[in-house]
Amino acid sequence: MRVSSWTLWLAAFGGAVAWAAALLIVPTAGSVNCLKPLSHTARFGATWLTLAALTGAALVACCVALGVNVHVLRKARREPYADHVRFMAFGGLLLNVAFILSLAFFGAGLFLAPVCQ
Amino acid sequence: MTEIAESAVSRRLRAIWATPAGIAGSLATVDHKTIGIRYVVTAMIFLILGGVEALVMRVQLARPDAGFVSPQLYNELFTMHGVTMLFLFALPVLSGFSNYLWPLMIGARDMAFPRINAVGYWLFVAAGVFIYTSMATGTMPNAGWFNYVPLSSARYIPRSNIDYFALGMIFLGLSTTAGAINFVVTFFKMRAPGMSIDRVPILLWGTVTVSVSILFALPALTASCLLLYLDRHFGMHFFDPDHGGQPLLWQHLFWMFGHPWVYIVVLPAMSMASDMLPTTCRRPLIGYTYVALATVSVGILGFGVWVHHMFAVGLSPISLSFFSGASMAIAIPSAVSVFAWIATMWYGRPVRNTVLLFIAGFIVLFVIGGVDGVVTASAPFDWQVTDSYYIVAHLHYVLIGINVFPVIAGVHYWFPKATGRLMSERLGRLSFWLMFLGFNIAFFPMHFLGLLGMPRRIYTYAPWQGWAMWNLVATIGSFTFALGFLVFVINVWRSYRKGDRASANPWGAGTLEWSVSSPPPPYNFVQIPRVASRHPLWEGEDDDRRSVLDQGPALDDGHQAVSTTALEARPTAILPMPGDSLWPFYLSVATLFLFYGLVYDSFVVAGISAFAVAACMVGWLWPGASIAQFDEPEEPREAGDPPATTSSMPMSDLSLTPVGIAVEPHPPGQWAMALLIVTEASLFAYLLFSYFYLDVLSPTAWLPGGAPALRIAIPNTAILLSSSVVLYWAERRLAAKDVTRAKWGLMFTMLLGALFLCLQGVEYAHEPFRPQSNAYGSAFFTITGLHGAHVFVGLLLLGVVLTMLWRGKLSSERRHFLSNAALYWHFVDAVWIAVFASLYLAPRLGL
Repeated sequence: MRVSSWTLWLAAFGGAVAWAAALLIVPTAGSVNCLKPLSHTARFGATWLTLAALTGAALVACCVALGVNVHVLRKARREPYADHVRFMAFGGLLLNVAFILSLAFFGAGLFLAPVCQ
Repeated sequence: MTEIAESAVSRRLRAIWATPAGIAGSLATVDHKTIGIRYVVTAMIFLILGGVEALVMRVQLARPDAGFVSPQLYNELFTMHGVTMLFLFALPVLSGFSNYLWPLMIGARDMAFPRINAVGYWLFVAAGVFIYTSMATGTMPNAGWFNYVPLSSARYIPRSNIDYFALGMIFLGLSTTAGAINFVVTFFKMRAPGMSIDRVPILLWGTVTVSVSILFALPALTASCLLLYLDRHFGMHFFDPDHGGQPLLWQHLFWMFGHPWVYIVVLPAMSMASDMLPTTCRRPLIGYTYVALATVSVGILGFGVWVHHMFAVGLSPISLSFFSGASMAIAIPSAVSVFAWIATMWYGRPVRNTVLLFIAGFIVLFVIGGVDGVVTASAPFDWQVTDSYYIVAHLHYVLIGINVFPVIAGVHYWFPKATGRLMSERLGRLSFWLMFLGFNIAFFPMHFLGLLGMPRRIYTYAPWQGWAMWNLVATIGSFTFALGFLVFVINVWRSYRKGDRASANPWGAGTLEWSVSSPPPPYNFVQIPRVASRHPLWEGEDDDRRSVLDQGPALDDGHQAVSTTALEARPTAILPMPGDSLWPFYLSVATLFLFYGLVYDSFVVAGISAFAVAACMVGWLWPGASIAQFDEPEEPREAGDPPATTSSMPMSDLSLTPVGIAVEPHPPGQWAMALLIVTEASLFAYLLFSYFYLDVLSPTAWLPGGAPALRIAIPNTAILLSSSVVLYWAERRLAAKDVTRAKWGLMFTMLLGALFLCLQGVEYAHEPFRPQSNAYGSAFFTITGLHGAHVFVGLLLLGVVLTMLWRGKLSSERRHFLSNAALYWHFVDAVWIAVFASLYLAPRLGL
């Protein structure tokens, strides 16, 4: 079977990259917006929407990476010399599930805690 | 192969790989085994120094109102203790193990970059000497290992104590970065044929994870220490709120580095346990895939938890919830590893020896340290215990429990391999029980002390505060622990001199390092192995796929190693490897004096030393030198050609593998340059983060004189970007064998780069603000100045390439060196686009 190394690496660590991007951007954007005038602190206002959209985008990226891993894993299931492909895809699958859960947990926080004090 | 023929090959290999005797040979050696042992021994010396500092502190705290040391000395002691243990022991000792073991475990002759390996060690020693010079001058760092500002600013600590810390961290970072790049490239390029990514020992997963983490995390420390040094020595204002600076910027930068660092110093140790456990339990590790993944995920998640060190500074709820969640999540992969170890012991047939005792002790301490740590992920609890002895207890459970205990287990386990002698079991068990009991007696009561309100870093306390009993218990425990360590040291010394002789595989282990003699020969393997499983020495006669350890090619034509693909470990080329060299040693000594010059503002010393550093680097890379990469390439072999070496046995596709770096599509040097760029890009990212952080939070006007003028910056940007185009053209010309035009292209690129620097200088002279004006001026000149320094380094690099071209060392087939230099140059240009957009355009867009 033909799966490029780049596909395997990106699928394995796509969720991690999306999570890391969300980690850098979301709290920073939240903190910066919280320093602006009080109109930005509304519970479901522009700041909240921005953060929710960023988190959602990261979640979508994780899900795409997860889908690629599932696809590769199914293709490689019966291949005789594809242990390393299965290893990467299975590892990517687990990693992406972990980061999807992490982002979902964080997304829930958007509904439970005020963005700004 | 007959015995006679085999010994003849061995003799030839020994002649090629052995280090010459004498002082010069000893200083010049690039043998990974020698360097690994040196790392471990040097780190242990630092451990003893840090331990003595801790014992002095424990004597001071054993009773209330004690006067054993002064408050000033106490401040210095706890700072040096932290710096020594975290930076001079915890990671270097693990680097030592990895350096020693990696090539043996992956069936390689050496690391990917033996000379960089050597320079990493010498820089580590020099940085340690530099930091401890402060003891001789009476100016030891004294603001704690995380060195918070404003305490560490020149206003409060005007002497050079903090400079030793800040510059020492930058110095040590050079060594750590060099090591990290070497490990990553070795992991992806140097594994024996057949050792696909699902077959590597867990130690490799641990070390490669932390190496990648280092490349992203360490620049944050470098950036913070650089900014602090500039504040202290050049009157800049990054951390000075009176001029637009922010003390909290230090905390952000430091902990962006600091928390990943905690995982950096424990993951390889955990991985060592994962590799020792199968041998002591006589069965493969249960959940190999899950443990490898857990290791990688801890490394990634480690970047998402830095803010939990700052819960008490006042953050937005959204930040608290995100970082609190990430801090709790990291417990999950950690627990996966614990369950895998317990399951392996449960289903295995454990041999109750010292190694197992230390691993079992490590698991117990890991669980305690994990549980008492995960609760601090909850912000309200963290607010109660922050900066108390509870945190001291937690971090020692984590760092000693997860670092020191596996390291001691590792010494017992691999000592026979390194020395050819077994360690005493009797003394080993005695040292374990003394250390395990002593550790718990010392550190468990600190939880109580923290909950009773005892803050960390106080040099004494009053009798009425009720902390005396637990402090006395902790002191007794710490001396018991020290006694256990002393027994361990005696055991090492005694066993080294007269321990029982060890066979090649005294434990019946399954990994490759045990297939060679104890101690291993300088060339590691007579023949390059082909690997077919995770435990090549445990394969049975009836296994479908079997590893081949004694029929591969010997590669005895010179310093040669096999390069393989990243995932599958398919051979791609036989690479010439560099031999011993004194340049790494000279370079480290010159760097040491450069830093001495900087700490005392002696710019004459610093300037001469900087010149010496540059001279050493040029000497190292000089085309006339005998570095192997400049050897003439060989034509790729084809089927039917004789094998790579006349003395080798034919072995499937390896005998057809072409020789020479020219045939390798992605040579290790290219990987190293890409990784260097990753870490440099991180450095600029942290600096730009600092710029925007200060911009957003600046209490004063951020741009006192308006945005910087564009009349020079725009043409200068065009000049720099066009230089990239010219260089790309020069590369294409060389590929097309048009050497003359390639030379002209290179020269024109250098001219454009030099013009950029000159115009940058003109712009500096016309700016209405200075670095000392306010935080904006400090940030502007620091970021653009650092970029300018990168352009200068790029010019030096291109100069070396041009010299090679003149001397006929580069050709259309052998242009990797030009490609690497061009990669660096394009990166520098890309950084300028980010800098230009952030510093020049963003203010005009109101960002």
